[in-house]
Amino acid sequence: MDTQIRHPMLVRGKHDELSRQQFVHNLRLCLAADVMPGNRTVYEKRVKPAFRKKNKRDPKDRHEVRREMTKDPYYRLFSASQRASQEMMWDSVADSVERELPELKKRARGNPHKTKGTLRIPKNFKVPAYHTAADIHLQPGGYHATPDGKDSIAAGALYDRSVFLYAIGGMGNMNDDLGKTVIGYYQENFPGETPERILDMGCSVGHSTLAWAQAYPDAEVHGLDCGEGMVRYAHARARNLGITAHFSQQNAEKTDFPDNHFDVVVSHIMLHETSATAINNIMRETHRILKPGGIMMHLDLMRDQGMKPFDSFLMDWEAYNNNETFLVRLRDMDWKKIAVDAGFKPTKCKVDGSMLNISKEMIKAGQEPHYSATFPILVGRK
Amino acid sequence: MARAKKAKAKRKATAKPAKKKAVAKKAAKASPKRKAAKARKKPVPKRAPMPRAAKGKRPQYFEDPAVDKLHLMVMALIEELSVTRDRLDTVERLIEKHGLFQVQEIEDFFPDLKADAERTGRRIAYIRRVMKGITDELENLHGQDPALEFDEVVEVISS
Repeated sequence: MDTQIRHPMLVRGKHDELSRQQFVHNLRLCLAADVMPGNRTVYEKRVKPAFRKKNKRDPKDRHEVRREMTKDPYYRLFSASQRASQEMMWDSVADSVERELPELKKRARGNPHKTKGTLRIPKNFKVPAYHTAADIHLQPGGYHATPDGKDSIAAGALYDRSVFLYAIGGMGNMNDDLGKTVIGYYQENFPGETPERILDMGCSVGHSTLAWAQAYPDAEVHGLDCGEGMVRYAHARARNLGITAHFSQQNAEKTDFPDNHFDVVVSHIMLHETSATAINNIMRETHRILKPGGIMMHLDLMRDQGMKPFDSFLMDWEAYNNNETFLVRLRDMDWKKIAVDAGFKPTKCKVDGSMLNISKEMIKAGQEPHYSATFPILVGRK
Repeated sequence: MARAKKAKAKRKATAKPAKKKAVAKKAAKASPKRKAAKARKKPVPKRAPMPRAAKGKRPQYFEDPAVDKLHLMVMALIEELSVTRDRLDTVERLIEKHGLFQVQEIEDFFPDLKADAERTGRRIAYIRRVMKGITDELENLHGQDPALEFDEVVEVISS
């Protein structure tokens, strides 16, 4: 069985459902470890030589690599299988969620540890178009569907289990490694800070938010997300884990928080799930709600700049095959300029980066990390 | 000043649901009878069907869209075979746990001649059923009469 911690809000699953989830987990591992690396071989040995012969040069960018690779039978089968694994993943978890929802909703109403965490759901919330245009990373119904009606937690219950399978456990047993990664970066680069108020934008089920709440138990930690079922579940999950955090359904482009309110505003791979307009709004909002001297850190996926065309092409897979469409645009954008346009001083913001916390821990323990890439973080001090 | 007011209003807003809950709790404590009546009145929660298809156009990976569908069918079959194997494994382990026999007996099992013949027969029939799609057309090629096209058959049955 996989190592995800079976906290009280996590969907349980019956024998065959768990077996299907386990299968998807292992299938994704095999695709990543055995099949995926073959794409590079195919490119170097077959696709690039053929291109060179025809054009007397190498493919100039990731888009040109993509045009050639999508014609190759090996890449096609890899892509089709990777896509299928994503679809099968949601389906395998949806079976369990569908069956267990009444029980989970009952548990969601409880507060066994008497935490002081709050939940705010506004009336008439408008889900932005970049969520409704296509279901992000193929989650049926997206972040926003409420198939279970009032007090919906279905989207969150589906997400919490699935995102573990998606990452093949790479985000830790509580899915909190991205939170820990940004916390590690913050503590290394801004030593001695004791934030009083922290906001996690695009928090979904609060898996990164709670890492912040645990690292700073005296701080008031907030998480916001566009998905009602996400924040309702996040609230229930936090309460059942005995961790205090405050969740609200809000759009990060325009929140209801006062000016100069937070010491830290973070997001963990949220930016690529927004839009060209939204990212500018989010940056302006980040600047508005930060206290003077407060720190922003938005972690996202690798930009195109400085990457070899083939490596950069691989990073685009999720955009073209997994409904993370804005990623292609975001990877070409000048992040620092967005921050400067939003009000951050050019001398006080930059694109920095960090290795995943889980990789750092492995290196510390003398092991070879599974994944050693550096994730970019847009950092700024107001 | 305005900011402070705003913040105060916000605190009020967040405090509201907690208050409500306290009232509800009180009521439940005060009257167990009423609580029981309420529970009876509550309709049995209907099982909410989860959405199963993600919105957004699915990429076509192969020249022929039928191959995309076939690939999905193969993936689903691989999955279900894996699930079945897991289930068999569970059965084996439970058998051992309850002392019906040792799983090692399965590993050491050697079919006698009769069992072997029955198994072979079943296995060959199974393989033939799977291979039928490939070999079907041979029957027509070997036959005395060439296979008729659909329209030709329509002509025959219409006369």
